[in-house]
Amino acid sequence: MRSFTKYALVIFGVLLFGFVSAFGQEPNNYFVSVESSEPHVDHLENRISIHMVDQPFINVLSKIAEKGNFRLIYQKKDLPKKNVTLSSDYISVKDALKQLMLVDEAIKFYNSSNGQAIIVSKDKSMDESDIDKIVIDGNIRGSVTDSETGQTLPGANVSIIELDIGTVTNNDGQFELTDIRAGTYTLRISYVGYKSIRRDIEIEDGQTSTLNISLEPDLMGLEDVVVTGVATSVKRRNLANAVESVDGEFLNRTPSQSVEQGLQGKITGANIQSNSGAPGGGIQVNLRGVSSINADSQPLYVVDGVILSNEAVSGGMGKITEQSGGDNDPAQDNMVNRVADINPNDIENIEVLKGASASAIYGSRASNGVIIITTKRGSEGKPQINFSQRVGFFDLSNTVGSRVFNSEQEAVDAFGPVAAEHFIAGQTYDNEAAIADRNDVSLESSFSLSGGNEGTQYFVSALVKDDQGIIANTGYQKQSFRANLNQEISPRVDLDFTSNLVHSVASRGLSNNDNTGTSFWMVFPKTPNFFDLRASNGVFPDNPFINSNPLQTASILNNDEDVWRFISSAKLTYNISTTANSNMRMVADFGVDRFQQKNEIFSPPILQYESNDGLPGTLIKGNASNLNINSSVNFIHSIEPGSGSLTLTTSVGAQYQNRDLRVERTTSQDLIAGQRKSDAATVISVFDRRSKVVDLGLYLQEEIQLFDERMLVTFGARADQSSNAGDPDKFFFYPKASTSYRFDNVSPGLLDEIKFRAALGYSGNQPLYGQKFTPLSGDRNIEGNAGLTVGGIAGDPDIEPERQREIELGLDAVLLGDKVNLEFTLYQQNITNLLLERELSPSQGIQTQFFNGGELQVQGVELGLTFLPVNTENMSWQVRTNFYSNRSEIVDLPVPGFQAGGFGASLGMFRVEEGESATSIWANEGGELSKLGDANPDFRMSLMNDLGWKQFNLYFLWDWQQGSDVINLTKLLYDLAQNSSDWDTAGQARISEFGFNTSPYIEDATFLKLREVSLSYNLEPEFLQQLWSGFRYVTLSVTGRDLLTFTKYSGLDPEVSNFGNQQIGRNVDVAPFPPSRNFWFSVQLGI
Amino acid sequence: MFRNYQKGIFLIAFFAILFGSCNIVEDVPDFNNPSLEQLTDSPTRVSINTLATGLLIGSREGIENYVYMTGIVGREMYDLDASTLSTSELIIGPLDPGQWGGNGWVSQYQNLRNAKILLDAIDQVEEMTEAEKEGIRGYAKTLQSYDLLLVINTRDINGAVIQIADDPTGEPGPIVGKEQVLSQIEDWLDEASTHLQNAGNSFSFNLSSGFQDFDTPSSFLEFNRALQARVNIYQEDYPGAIAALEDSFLDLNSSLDMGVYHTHSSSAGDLSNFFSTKSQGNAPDYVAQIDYETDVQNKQNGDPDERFQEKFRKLPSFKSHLGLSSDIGFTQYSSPNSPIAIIRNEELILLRAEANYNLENYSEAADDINFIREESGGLTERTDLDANNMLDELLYNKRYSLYMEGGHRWLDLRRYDLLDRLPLEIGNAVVHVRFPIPLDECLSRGLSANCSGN
Repeated sequence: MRSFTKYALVIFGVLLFGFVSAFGQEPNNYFVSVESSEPHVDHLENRISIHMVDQPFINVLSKIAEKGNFRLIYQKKDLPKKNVTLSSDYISVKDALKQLMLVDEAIKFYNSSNGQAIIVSKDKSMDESDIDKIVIDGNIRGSVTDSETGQTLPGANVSIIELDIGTVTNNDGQFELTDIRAGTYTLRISYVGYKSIRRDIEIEDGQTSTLNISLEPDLMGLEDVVVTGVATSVKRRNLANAVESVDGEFLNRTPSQSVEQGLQGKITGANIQSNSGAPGGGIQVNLRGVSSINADSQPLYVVDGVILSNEAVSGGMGKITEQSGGDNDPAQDNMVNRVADINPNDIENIEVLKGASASAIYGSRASNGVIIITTKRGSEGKPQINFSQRVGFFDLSNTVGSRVFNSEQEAVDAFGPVAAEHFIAGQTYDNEAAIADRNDVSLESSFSLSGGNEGTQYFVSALVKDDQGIIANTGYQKQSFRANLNQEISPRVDLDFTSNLVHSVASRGLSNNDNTGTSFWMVFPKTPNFFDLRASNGVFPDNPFINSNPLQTASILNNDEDVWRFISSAKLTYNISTTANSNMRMVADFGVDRFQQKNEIFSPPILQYESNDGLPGTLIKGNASNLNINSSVNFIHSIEPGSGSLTLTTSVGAQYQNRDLRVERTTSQDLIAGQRKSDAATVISVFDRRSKVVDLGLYLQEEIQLFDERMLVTFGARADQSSNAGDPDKFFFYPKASTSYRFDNVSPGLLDEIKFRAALGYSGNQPLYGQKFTPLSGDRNIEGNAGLTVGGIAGDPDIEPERQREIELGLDAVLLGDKVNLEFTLYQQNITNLLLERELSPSQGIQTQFFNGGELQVQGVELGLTFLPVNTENMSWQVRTNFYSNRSEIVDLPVPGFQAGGFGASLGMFRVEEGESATSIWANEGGELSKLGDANPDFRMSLMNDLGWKQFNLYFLWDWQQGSDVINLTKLLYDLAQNSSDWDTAGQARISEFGFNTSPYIEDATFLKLREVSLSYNLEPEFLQQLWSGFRYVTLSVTGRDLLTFTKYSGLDPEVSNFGNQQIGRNVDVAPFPPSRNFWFSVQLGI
Repeated sequence: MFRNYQKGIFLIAFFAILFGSCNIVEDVPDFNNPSLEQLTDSPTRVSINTLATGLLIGSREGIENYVYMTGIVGREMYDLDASTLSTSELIIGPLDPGQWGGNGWVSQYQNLRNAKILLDAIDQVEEMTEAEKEGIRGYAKTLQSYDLLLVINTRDINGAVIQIADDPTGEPGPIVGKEQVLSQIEDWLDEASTHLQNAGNSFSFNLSSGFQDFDTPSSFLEFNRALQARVNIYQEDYPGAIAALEDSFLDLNSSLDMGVYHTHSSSAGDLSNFFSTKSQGNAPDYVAQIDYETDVQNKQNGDPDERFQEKFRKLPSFKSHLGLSSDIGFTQYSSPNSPIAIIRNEELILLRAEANYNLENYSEAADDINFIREESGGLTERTDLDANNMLDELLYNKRYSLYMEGGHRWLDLRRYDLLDRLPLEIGNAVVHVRFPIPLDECLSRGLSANCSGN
């Protein structure tokens, strides 16, 4: 065993010792009960036979209770730790107990009022004769209602903390707890969506106390349970971290194509931007700024315990566009990251762990944050059906515009003599609008059925979605089927099973950078607006200015991504033991995520540009198959000694992950007779890559809630191994600790509650597959003779994961009589051991080497404010605003500054330089490479308003980005072609400085977008009943997404990334897919 | 009692996980590439031959880019694709050592590393005869000389690196001046020549069809000498060039196209000729510089030079970008299978003419020039050639004979200090004299940009 393994073992041993000590502590209030099956009236006179020799006291007592059909109630501390002998045939229970009393004078037995239980106690105030006394216990009765509407609440939980007994309210909201010993107890009443409360209650012998409780709705979500460990959770109000959660209802106010789209503007600290307007996904989620330069850029997604693959696999579009001039750089292929497959309608809740202080327990893949998605479950009750039908359309929201030529001479000067043949003064065509003029009907049908009984609950859903893109042959289709089943196998064993089958087809057209004159917005700059690209009589004219007609391309070319995906999980919970105030359980889960992504790009010979390379017709067929398997075993032990003021939760477990991705692609050119067949071509090339990663993580976590849940202390650690690390046996260690303290009722009505919190944690970001190898390239041949050549890259055999340390301080407050909820967070992340590439001297034949080094720091502030100005029976108004801002700095860089994105000095690039922001944009200014901008926004802010009036609801969400910069190369393309709309006033001046001054192409990307709008109407219940008594609700709504964009940015959309998901190198605008807005009319009904 | 049982389960499970896990994380291999260590630690006959072929592939890797860059700088062609920005850097400038100006370096040096790996491995392999090993050595040193020649051609007096260290991640060798680089190339070619003479009758590996007549050690030696002749000319060692040419494949009775080529093919895994995709159609991005049409000499019947007719074609209309425009395309690389010449008979004859001209053997020089005029251009013999006009005639013939074969127009004009003859088509156009040392080369030595070997 290697020394580090030993080290890790020792640390785990020490933690384990702490765990066992906590475990082995003598709890002072253990209750055990032995249930009897039938009541006996003359119980004490029951005759039993018993033969126990030198047995522990409790064993003998239990035997008496068992044979006498009694319940046994005792306090463990009261029991003598002696062995007893009791042997007698046909002895009365009463006599047997009297014999036991001889063992310890202090022991007393009582009989319960209903005569079914023997109570053991050392209560000094009672004497020996008390054993014959008939105790008459007390009862509690009452009701639970909504404090605002006064309606009764069926199904609310009512429990007595001290006795660990409880019940739920019946259909009329009534509850009753009987046979309770006299005394003072604390009653806890809770109901989903309401604030739970505690009430002290005095119970007297023979009396029935009445308690009518009204619960206040928990509009701030403080009672929501938030997952804090791999298998543990705490209430939001006690959290020591800023963990964001979004429930399914809020996520799906307006229909979204993918989960990330639905999250835009809803999470403080999350910069969620689409890479282009192409249908079907390709959205980046960046939590708390930059956390890596070269490693994985996206958060870890966990869906019902399945560690999801969020791979973005290129469909091979680069074979048509040659975006990087022959080499294949799939980053520019406008790829979809695969989390897009999840059906947003299935989601019950999303939690976002934004940095290492919250995500440390997820270890070496958690430094970009973790997004935990929980899908819907069935609940006990009669079957419920929800159905929604949406009808809508998409509409082009912006164009770039082009130069208007005033004379033939101008046209000829810009476009050469050929312009003279086509120029007609005053005649212009909007070719951009012509290509994206589709408003075809889009449909979404969504269905779910849920229900169950005590032992089995089910949730089944189906989705059929067909979004028609704004450009011909583009769009997004998704069909999803889900079945979730919760089954109680025995009182101790539960099995939760989820399964999801998804099929999606994304048709994405051609976009982004090219070198072949094929990508739509690469061709428009080179086509003057006096030429009409539209078809006449079904025939598209050849473009005389550049050998490509985008309208023809769009109408004929297919670029489809067809994905079949199966995601399933099984979770087994085994309750090893439960006592009144402790619980030990094992949770074992297994998850699988398998997808098959088939890409097919068919560019038939008829396309104008296809003749350019002398190989008319291109067919690219891609096939990516991925298998993710993860499984874990966890033990969770919780103790609640005393009266619930202290809770200790210990969890320990191990998690195994295996990820295997294979990508194969065949490109066929010069298609014989235009056939859509890989082998019917004269030039065929193939591509084949595989990557595989195996990870193991071990963790231990302790959560301690103190002072009646006012204080939370958490500490834990995770140790990870990964096959991606240079040494796969080496453990990397990620500890964390956090604490919070909450002051209740500080100044009621003004400051109702305030919580201070602090957290520290470490997490990692693994090296990418292959970074430890120094490869030879063996996939080239010359006339069929194979050859090996050096690959140009040297791996690092000692490569390690990047390491993030995050410190988070925060303050949460509830103000103005529960009308305002404020969350304020400051954080600092330090990422060390960055995965860097060292530029070697290229004359030595190897240009770059991977290594660990350097340090990146991110500091930020987050503010979330929820305000409920009005909340009456007829009207409600909720306002939520999120604000965040962060700054990164390269604190230490052991290599010279280097380009980390973009194209270069004259075209603008992202440059990593010590002392500068990691997202700095550099370019030539006055001929010198200078820092000219920063892609990181100054701040992001969003504002959500939710207004309810009677049966109407109006909701809208604004999303504001201030001060991020974009390198607008689409504008440069127009300028180079002398075709920009502002050519005369500004374009000419810009291009004359090009190469020397790049600043005219670095633009402010500040925007304000109206992300979501929804106006809905719930049919009056009375009216509904007249229609059909089965309806639970019927809602009609009109919704829209991205309806308005206010920006000075001159390109198509300030949300843009030619290079796809990049933490640093995004915000490069090169001929993106144009943005669209969408409108929907929906009918939703429940039965 | 239940608590002990509970604790027991817990502890057993925990330690089972901990110890059981020690071998769960396997050492996943590289599925996509063979490893270098495997090859260098225990080379076999097969792996040596695969490396030898790799050297040929590696040499071909950078040739298109070299022909492209030197072609544009030397005004043989333009790239009029508005989205490709190389044109503005190569015609307008300045050459940026971090971008286009740094090109024409990496793939050549990568191949010098390939050659080093092969030469190191050949010393260790057991299952090959000494003659076979000598064959590989001669072959490898000839190709590495060729690659280094391409580097110094673009860098000229900025110099280049001649030392390839054992550890590519360690301290790099110095940047040395042009003379030292050329003499290193000359030495390698001479060493290669000795190896080839001891290499028996055949090579142990297969060469491509681009080496059709040069695939045995003795014929390969003629290719080696041809390169030596070109190097000697560049060194202004004219007697050396004449001597080398005598041992080369120069032959007035053979085809002018006889020579050595980088073959291209569209077969899977092979490399297509990149020029073919961009020089087709009615409005190709790659066009010929327009002066080729105006400067061409005519045949007796009034038709232009055969070479012009063969290598150029008229386009239906002008194509322009950045003020550069042209309506003639070039046809040399019309197919993905079109080979690119490394060196061929026609150049050797012109090299001999050039050597003789500089040695003032004007009549011998005139004979060779007229041979090419007649054989290649279909032109009439020029009887008026003398010391004053011979250089112009020689350069004319090199320009049309060796069109788009690797920057001959630019290199030749530079050697005679005549770069001012190249057109400055637009106001801000420049003619670059040489390429800078790539930025990373300077930075990795702690030097500032635009460092050089002087």
